[in-house]
Amino acid sequence: MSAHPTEKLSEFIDDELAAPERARIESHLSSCSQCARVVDDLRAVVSAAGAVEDSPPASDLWPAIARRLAPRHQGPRVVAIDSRRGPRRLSFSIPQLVAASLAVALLSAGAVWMAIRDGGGTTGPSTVAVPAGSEEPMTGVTVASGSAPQVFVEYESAVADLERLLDEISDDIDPDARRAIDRNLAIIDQAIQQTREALEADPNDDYLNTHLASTMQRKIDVLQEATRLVRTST
Amino acid sequence: MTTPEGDLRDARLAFEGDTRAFERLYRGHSASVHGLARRMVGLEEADALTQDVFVRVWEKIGTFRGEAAFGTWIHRVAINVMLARQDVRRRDRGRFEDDDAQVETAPVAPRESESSIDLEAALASLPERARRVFVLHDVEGYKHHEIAEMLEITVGTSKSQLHRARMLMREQLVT
Repeated sequence: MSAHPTEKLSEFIDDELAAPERARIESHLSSCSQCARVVDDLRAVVSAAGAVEDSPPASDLWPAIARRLAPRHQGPRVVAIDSRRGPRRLSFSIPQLVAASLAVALLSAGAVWMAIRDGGGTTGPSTVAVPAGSEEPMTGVTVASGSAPQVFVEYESAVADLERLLDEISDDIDPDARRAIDRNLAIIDQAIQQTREALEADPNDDYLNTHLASTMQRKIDVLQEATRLVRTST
Repeated sequence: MTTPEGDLRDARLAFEGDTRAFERLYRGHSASVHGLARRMVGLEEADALTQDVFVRVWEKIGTFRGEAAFGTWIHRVAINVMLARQDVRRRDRGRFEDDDAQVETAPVAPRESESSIDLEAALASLPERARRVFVLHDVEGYKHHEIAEMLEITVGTSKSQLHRARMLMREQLVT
């Protein structure tokens, strides 16, 4: 073997070559100090990687983790609702529950918008969350019972309402602040779009669904905070 | 000090909602998860990623049956979280930090004596794909066919990325 078999040396030290090729490389190494040194070096790298030691995080991460742990759901994962057709039960998948929790926030955002638009008056039935696992029918309550995609449609609607409100009061916003808000919203929109694209490839990925929900929530938060700041400063 | 029996007991308690049991699991395994996070994504993001991993473990702990060691199971969950997060971040950036240009311009740590070898600093300079494969194979001990499945690449690609990573590590670690 005249050419240096450098590309095969990792497989050589991992003992993953067929016998004839291994024999050829062994023969080469016996007469090539350059390749023999590479083999020794690669073995040293592998040895160092295998001996790496773990150390705990510099700060205790537990308090932050504990705050994020969702309470355990007790009993069957069923949501009871009351409707004009009488009590019925709907069951939700985890992504749907994530989406449903988002819907509550969205509907709250919508309620804020309605209240602002109507000068604080109430219109229509109130909208509240039904605790998962609740066995008590709730009277006089409407519940978003659509599928996850339906919830995302509602999200779009709520966002549109908030954006319209922001536009209506934009004259009261400092131009620099408005540009900063727009920049943040553009970044969030890009993240939402890219996460949606990732979900097209893997619609049931819990992480991506959660990421999408939290990113959407971030947009709602930005919009709500922006409108709140303007309204409290005028 | 964790034991397989203690971990399994705590995992079952955690599944029932016992956060103290889950904290014991965190105390017992946070160092290895954080170490994996540091090596996969770097020190800067390791804390946030470790938090994400344990939140994910809390959500998934009902699927732990005790067939493998809890440490093995949690590392697999951690890797999935890390890969998903990196994929999203990569899409956010609109590019993949794994091209030849980056290899050529990757910062090279000064060569020091063997006693001061800093494996993690050297790892941080590797291109993303090569680093993933190196960490999974040489640090975590996964086989090429397992890595290929996790990263959705071929076994041949896994082998070539590993060799690429080792050669780059050699440049930095071995005088």
